[in-house]
Amino acid sequence: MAIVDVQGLTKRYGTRRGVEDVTFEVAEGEVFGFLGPNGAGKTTTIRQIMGFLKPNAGRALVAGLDCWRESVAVKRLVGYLPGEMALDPGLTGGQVLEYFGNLRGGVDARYVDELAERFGLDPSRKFRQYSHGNKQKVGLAQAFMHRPRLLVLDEPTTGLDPLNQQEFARLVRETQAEGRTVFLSSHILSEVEDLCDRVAIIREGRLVHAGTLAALKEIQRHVVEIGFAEPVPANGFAALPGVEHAELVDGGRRLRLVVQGDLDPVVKLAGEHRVTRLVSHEPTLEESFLRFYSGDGGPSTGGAAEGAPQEAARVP
Amino acid sequence: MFLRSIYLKTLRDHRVGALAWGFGPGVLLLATLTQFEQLVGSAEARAALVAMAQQFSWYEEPIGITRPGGFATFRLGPMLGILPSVWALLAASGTLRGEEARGALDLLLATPRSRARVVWEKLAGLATALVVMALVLGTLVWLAGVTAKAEYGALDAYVFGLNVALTAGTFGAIALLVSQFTSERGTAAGMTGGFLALSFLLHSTGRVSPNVKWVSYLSPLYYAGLTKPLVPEVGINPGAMLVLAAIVVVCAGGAAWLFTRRDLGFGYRLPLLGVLPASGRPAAADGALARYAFSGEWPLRSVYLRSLRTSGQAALWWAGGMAGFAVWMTAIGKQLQENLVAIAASSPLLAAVFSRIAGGAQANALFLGMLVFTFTPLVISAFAVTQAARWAADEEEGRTEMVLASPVPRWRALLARFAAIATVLLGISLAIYLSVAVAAAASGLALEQTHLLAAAFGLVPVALVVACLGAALAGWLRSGSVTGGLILYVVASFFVMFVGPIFNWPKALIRLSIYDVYGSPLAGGWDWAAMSALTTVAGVCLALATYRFRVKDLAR
Repeated sequence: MAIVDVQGLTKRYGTRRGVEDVTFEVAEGEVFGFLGPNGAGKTTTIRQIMGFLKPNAGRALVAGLDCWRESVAVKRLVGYLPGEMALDPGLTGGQVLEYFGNLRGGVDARYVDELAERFGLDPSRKFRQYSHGNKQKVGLAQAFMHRPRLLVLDEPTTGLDPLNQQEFARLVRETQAEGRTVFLSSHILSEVEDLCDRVAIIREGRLVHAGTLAALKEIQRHVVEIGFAEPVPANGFAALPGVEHAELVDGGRRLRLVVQGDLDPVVKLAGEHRVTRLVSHEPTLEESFLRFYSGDGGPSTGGAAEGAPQEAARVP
Repeated sequence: MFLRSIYLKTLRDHRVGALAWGFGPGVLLLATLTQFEQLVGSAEARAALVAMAQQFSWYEEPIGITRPGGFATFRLGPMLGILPSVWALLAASGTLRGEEARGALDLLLATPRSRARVVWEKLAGLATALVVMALVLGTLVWLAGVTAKAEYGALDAYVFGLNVALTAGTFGAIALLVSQFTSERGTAAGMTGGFLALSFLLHSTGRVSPNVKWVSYLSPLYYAGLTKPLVPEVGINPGAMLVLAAIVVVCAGGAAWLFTRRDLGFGYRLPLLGVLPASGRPAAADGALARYAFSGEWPLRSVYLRSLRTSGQAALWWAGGMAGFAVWMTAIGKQLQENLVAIAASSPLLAAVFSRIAGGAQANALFLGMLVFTFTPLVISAFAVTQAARWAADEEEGRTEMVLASPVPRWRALLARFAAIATVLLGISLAIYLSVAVAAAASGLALEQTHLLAAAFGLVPVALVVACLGAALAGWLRSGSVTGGLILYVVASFFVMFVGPIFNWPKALIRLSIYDVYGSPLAGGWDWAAMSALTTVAGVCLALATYRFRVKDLAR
């Protein structure tokens, strides 16, 4: 059973868009990346999972529990770090952790101390006196301190220095090794690539991709440039499956193609002519993400928004 | 247009306040003068008015009160000095310290402008807002005078407005100065608010006790009261206005000077206040981190206890202020009674008026009820407004979200918070009861103890109605609107209680005032019907708030 099961989740703020028909699942024990440009609907989705917002349509389940109707039971399972943290400025970091520890119950004070030490957090200072990074450490400690079954972290490494980012990554891996799940919203692609098994990308309130990182790479587009000894017709190449764009330059001797997926048909057709030069550029993961972010997701991703993500996101 | 400079932006931030605080009191004065003819229509009525005014000499000197200007000054003068001062001190404490706490000042100071220029533009914006308030108020006071055929002219009306603005500016400047020594805006506002209340007490004490008249000189309200442009016998006192202006210049200038020399986000250390140091704390020795073992502190054990601690800390100031006011009023009550009896002895008409307020526990109760338990319901309501506003602000600023991210049901979070507020209200009522009981015993004023208990603890349902109404409003409105709505209701309630009977407004309308329902328990004892009605209204509001909070989207 998926620990997070989001089906057709829709939230509107009056006439303003929130999220529309978002569907994905997160398997227990995986690290799931949730990505998208600013204002895409990441936090709206997360706040519905946390039971802070009531969906207009669809549902969000955590461990089979409805996030709105059974939100208290859900929160027993969840550790949460919001994107913008607001805590009582008059309490020390230690008091903040103690307070939330008491509200949750069953928190091991030694583990809290260990977390503070791992992040280099001085718990004796007032919350208002902390730097942005130190506030984030308090937030991370309170999210991890009760060893929750599911961690929902909204941009968790914001403000952390590289050493603490590494410590965070170690903590996430340990969490996963213990069979627990991390749902992670982030803009740091190297972090996502390093930590996440699968990702979902949301843009303008709609899910445009959900699947493994490997699958994301599979749907990457290649930019191919082929040089020919003689001019060639472009029509044959443009009609090949996966070819999104074909352009002849240099009097027909040079062909520029944008190909999604398998290159085999292109190579075979090019082989019917005398090829002088062949260059294929595979975009980096970052370029792939940016393509989704910018709305240039290509036909297959457009389909994903309409329903394909259910397939791509299905738990193996 | 208003976004072209810091000065204009500051003016924009305070434009609604300036207009509201000019318009509101102006309309109040207009309404007061429309009832003037009704009150002074006959010689008997004038004599009764003069006699009644003597009872309130601690509140304002009754000079020329049989004429419109004197009547308006007597009835509203002190309030028109105090209420806009509350606005000014809140605005001023939020201008530097409030913006600093929000981080807004960091961005402003990142623009190529000196700190001095930023602070002076902001101060100029605030000063202009006060001038706007003075102009609006002055215009309405002049119109009120024309309507009531008063003897004062347009210049007097505008000087009246200016004097109110100067008074407000004085407390605003003091708040600005105090905020340089505190880490939070609320602390500066609370301390200045306390000084405002103390100023009123000092001024009143000096007025009713000639032996200690000198204490009045310590109160800015004394200098504000020296100028009474609507009363020809007193007129304008340029010296007193200059004193107020000097306080404004010294405090605001001092605050600006300190602000330009300190670390942003920190305050100057004052040993007694326990505020932030003037600069960042040095790191722990050897870079070692302090370890934190769970302390088991009681305020951290539950939402109720945490709320009790937070509300309780704020309540200490309020309870102290109200208890102090009650003690002072009780202490001078006997002396005032004796003065009135002496006045009454000279006139058969006045003797008839005063026959009910001298001698015996019932007479004492009537008198003390008027002195103490007319204003304490209003003040405890103001405390309830701050608590409801804080609840709304916690949701808006994301603190409630953090609590609800733990397995605490929404209904429990809300009820725990308001149970804590109810507990604190009981504590404040107990403080008022004890202070009046002790002061009455010490000054030999006989009181019925059960009635005193009713008067003190009857304040709890009154304040709970305000707090629970605020909780219900927070289900739909932002915190600013909740605060505004509650203030409007509280002021309207107080106004209706006073003015309704004079204008013969329908009884049903007057009963909408919580202060009318509260009644006079010190004289009449515990009114079960009234208290049940207030408690029921509070309960309904809380039930509505709980239902709404359970089903609503959390605001951010």
